[in-house]
Amino acid sequence: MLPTAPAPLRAFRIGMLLALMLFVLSAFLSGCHVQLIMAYDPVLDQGFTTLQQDTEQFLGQLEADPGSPRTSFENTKDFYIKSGAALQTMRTRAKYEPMSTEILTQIDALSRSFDDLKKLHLLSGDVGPRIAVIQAARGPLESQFGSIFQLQLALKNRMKKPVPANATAPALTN
Amino acid sequence: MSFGLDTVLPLMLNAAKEPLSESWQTTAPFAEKQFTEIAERIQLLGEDVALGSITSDEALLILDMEKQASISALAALEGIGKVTAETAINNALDAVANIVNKSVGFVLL
Repeated sequence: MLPTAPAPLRAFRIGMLLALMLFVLSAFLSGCHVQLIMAYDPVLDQGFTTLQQDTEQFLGQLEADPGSPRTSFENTKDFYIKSGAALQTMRTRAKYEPMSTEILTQIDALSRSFDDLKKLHLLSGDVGPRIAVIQAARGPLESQFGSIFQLQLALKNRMKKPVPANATAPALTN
Repeated sequence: MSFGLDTVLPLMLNAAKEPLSESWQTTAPFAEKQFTEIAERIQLLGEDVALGSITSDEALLILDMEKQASISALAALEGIGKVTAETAINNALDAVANIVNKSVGFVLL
């Protein structure tokens, strides 16, 4: 067991510890704010918007010509190649942003939905999917884009809220 | 110069309350809408399978898409919750920054 340090030494140690804690606290808090989720990335936001436009256009093409050879997987597979590449590019970008867990979860969920759509398309064989299948697949895809944009909007609008007027600091007492 | 907990605490709580309340007003209707729509679509899917307009193989894939939609909605809620918590904490710190900084004699907050 270590011998107890004399009182002046103890006071010095405590003082040093307090100074260190104060320094760390001030270094952490000075001029910076707490951040719990990634910063808004306009490139990602734009990527999601473009992907939704492409998806809506693709579903529109399938709906305009359901069950036809013109909308078979073979004749429309470019969409899957392009959307897969877009999602992978966005995933790579988000992966290197700190605190991007929720965005990555949304990208992975959307990738899986596109895989499901591709499998639905392949199930139709040499023709495009039937109208009932396209309409049933449209709902969850639009829902996913809705959730993605809800979060993007929250990130975009994130800013320091003005302190309420009634929160004015009272006079200090000496 | 000094300050007491009874001075800073009401200011911090007041500043933190506003973003929490605003977030609830936004997220509650969003969550309700998303999950209601997912439930309705799943019900409709069952009817389509019963009518024979969608096969069971197709239904399984569409159901998985609905599952992914739920995951995405939950991720959005979690993310919005983090943005809200962040705003509440930063507002609370800002609300008392003047008092604390004057008290310690340098820019701590």
